[in-house]
Amino acid sequence: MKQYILAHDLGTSGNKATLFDEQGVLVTSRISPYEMDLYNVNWAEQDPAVWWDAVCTSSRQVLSTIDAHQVKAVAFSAQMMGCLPVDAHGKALNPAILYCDHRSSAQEKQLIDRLGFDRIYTTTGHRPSAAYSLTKLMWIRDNLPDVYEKTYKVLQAKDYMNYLLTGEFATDYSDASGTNAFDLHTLDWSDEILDAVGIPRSLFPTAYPSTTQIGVVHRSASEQTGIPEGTPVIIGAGDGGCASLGAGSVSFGKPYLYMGSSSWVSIASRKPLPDEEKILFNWAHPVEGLYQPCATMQTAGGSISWFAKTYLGNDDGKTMDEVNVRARQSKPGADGLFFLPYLLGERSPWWNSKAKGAFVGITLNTTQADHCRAVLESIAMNQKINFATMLAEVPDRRVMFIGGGAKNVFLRQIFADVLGCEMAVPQFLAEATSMGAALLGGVGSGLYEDFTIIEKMNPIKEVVEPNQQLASFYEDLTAQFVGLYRSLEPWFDR
Amino acid sequence: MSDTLILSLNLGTTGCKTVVYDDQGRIVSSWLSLYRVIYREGNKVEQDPDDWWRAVCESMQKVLRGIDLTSIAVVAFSGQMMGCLCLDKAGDPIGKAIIWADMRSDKEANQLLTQIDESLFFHITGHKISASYTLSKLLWVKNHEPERLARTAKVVQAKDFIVSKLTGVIVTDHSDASGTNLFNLTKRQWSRTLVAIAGINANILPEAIPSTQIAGKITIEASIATGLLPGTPVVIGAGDGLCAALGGGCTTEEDAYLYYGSSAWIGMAKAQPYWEPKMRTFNWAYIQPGLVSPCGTMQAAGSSLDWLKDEVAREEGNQAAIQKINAQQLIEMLVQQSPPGANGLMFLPYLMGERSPYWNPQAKGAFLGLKRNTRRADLFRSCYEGVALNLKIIWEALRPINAAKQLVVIGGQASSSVNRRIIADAFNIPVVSHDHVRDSKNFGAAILGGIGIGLYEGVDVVKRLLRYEQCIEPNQESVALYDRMLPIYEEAYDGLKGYYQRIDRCMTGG
Repeated sequence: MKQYILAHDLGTSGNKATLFDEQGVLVTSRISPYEMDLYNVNWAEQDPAVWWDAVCTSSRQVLSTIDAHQVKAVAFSAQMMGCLPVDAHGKALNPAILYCDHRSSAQEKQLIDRLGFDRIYTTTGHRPSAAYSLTKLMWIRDNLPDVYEKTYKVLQAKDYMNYLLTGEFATDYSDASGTNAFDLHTLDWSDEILDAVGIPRSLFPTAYPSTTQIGVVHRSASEQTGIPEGTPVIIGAGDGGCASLGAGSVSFGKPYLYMGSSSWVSIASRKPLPDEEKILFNWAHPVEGLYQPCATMQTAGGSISWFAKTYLGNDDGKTMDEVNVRARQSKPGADGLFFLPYLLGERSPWWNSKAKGAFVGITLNTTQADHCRAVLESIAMNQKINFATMLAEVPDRRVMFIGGGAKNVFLRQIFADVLGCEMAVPQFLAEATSMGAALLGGVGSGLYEDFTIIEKMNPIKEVVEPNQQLASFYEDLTAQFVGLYRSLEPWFDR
Repeated sequence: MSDTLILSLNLGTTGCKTVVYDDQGRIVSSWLSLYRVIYREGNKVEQDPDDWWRAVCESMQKVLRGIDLTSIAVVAFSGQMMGCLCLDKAGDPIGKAIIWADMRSDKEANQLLTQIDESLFFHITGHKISASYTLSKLLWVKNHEPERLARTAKVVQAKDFIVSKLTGVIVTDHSDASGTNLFNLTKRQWSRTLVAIAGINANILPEAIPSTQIAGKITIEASIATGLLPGTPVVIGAGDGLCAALGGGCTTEEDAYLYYGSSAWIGMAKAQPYWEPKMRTFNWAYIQPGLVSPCGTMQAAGSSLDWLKDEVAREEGNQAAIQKINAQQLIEMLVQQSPPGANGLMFLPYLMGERSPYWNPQAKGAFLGLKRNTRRADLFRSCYEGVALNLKIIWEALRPINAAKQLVVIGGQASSSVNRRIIADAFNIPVVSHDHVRDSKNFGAAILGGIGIGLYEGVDVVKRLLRYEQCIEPNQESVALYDRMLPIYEEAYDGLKGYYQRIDRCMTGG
């Protein structure tokens, strides 16, 4: 009999339900879109009822194509670092405050003042920041006392969906590691941090490995979603972790690079990699026993589309092609022209919200082609800096390349040359998070023997070799790139 | 038509522009003959003096067509400065002319810095030591082609060579001499100290005469080549920077002008040289014997805007071609859609390195402060403002001696009202233009010619002949903004200074 995993990917712009069969083959998927509520400059919220509606709708749609009883398990990938307070009956007390909401900057300061920046970084694997759940919860305590008083648990997006399916309050290590309140070394909530800011640990649900079955679909959830009552629910992981799985990063090493509008690089390590510069941040990996050091740049594909539109004056959809065609006419090094891709400030490697974009090195001979190439090279050099600490830890010199940016053939070569690594491009570039959820569901439910099935689910289609001569050239160029940023660092503060 | 005509030639970098003026300064005929700029490896930039001569002959024949040759009262010159052309005993060129833009002699300039205190040098010549000038170029010839120097009878500037072809007399004028780094500015004679330090034969320096002096008369041979009547007087004229100053109407200590062409400079006329404490500006010998012209020149002004037009604004270029309008006009419509300050975007116009204010050949251009909401109009506006802010640094450097109540803007970019507006706001001074902004160098040379033959009494005639127009008053809100922006703009360069040095080493493999 055919068997399926129902994988959900609950993102910022919609929920995607996908069915994978027992071989790991992607059978069908449906997206139910929704909006983000943005206001007060830096607030970003979503109503969790909207999430649930989307989960119900998309589940019904994909299940209508099969016999729903063939679903072996359900599992989620979802947006991380949020804050949704619920009461003991699982009723949402406030809209979910999302990862990109920065209202809690006063609480961020308080957190740092109480414990120190370094202590929080080494304990949680992350810099203390208003981006994470803890300061958002502190904000609710400080500004919405009624809500705070009634709060029984604080949940992540997938945890709430899991609760609605099963009636269980729980989270997994990966999502817990995105709260700024979780001790990455003990894989438990940090009493030191929680005591310092006066938040009781009881507000956080127990954290489990990501493959744990936390319950089964109960009757009323079954009626709403169309998933048969009693179907096992595997807890799943945050979308960052699921993307790693989908990119094949399921055992030690296995570096990968995601490039969409933003871009991140990551590997699977045996321990967190807190570096001196605090370039990296560390998640608990969805594969038990592993960690996921990660570095995210803000505007990667975002830089290219800005450039094509604003600089080339190209408003149609062929932006990427246009940039590539012209970039090929320039030479490695773009004739001395550098781009700083900091159009929205930068996270890794600089963590400087005041950083800005720049073209530097213009002469009368500088062409549009040089500008195009400089934009692409700069993104790769920025990621080379981000990768440096990680790649020093692992023997692998093959980087999986996923996300929309991986479609760009020319960019593959640029990354290969700049990083000095093979770039491996798998069949599915945009399905990594859903595949990660499916892997967790499959392994957690026993449908898949282990995580290596990902090699069949998302096979490598092309490997781009680096040009070794260029790699040493880019080594030097990247040092200049760093020097350029350092030169302008004081200016960005002006 | 008036029976007294002046034939004025300007030997620029791209070509020779020849204009016939009547005695009221009106253009009777005009012609531009282009010639080559030869770029060679190692920052070498040369021109063939025979090309200059061909262009002179061609353009003269063109402008003189239909003109009664007896009415040509005088021929006068403006020319590119700071070059190095070696002539043999017969007055023939030995090799090509090394022109102002040539930067091959960086080592020689650095060598000079070890031989003489730069501040002392500045007080002798009015200039810094730099590879831009004749002296270090001549030293390069000495070091690399000693046989060329051994055969050299005279070292001259472009206009001097053409004057010698026309008259058989080899001389130069005070203004061009003051652009060689070998001329004592206040004594108006070749500096024996510097000649000694350079270790060259003083005889190879031509006699330097006032810019209004008649150098000689058209010879029979020159008459055959050019069509001019033999015996027509030839006034030596001046370097193009000074001809522009005069043509711009700068004649008294209360005047200031901005020449805004491919390069741009701010100049004045003063009784005393200005010893700018940081040596950011320099001094020429002016065309009036008692005056010097303090000045600061930036390299890529209009050139930056041309680069913007040719590389960044290709879409607008295509649009303009379809609509059959000028691309710069289309660009400037966009410039006006971005507010003063270009939404925080800054442009550093160091596309050719920089002379004033930084004297740094390694400097490069930059867009700084790009954000995701930066628009195309902001990119365009930042270029216009970047040039203006760099000029503002020069303007502020000259402020202690500046007595001008208004600024005359001349040069090709002076026709842009967007440029005049931004300059007025950046400098906080009313900006005017006049009817000779595009031919100011030729016009200045013509005045020198007229004075040389006694047609005009003195330089004051310029203000009578110019028709001033369109005063743009500064907008105080923008003035305050540009004042706030200036230190930030300067800090951007300061921040990048070390980077320019490192990347230069990296790229040249040094």
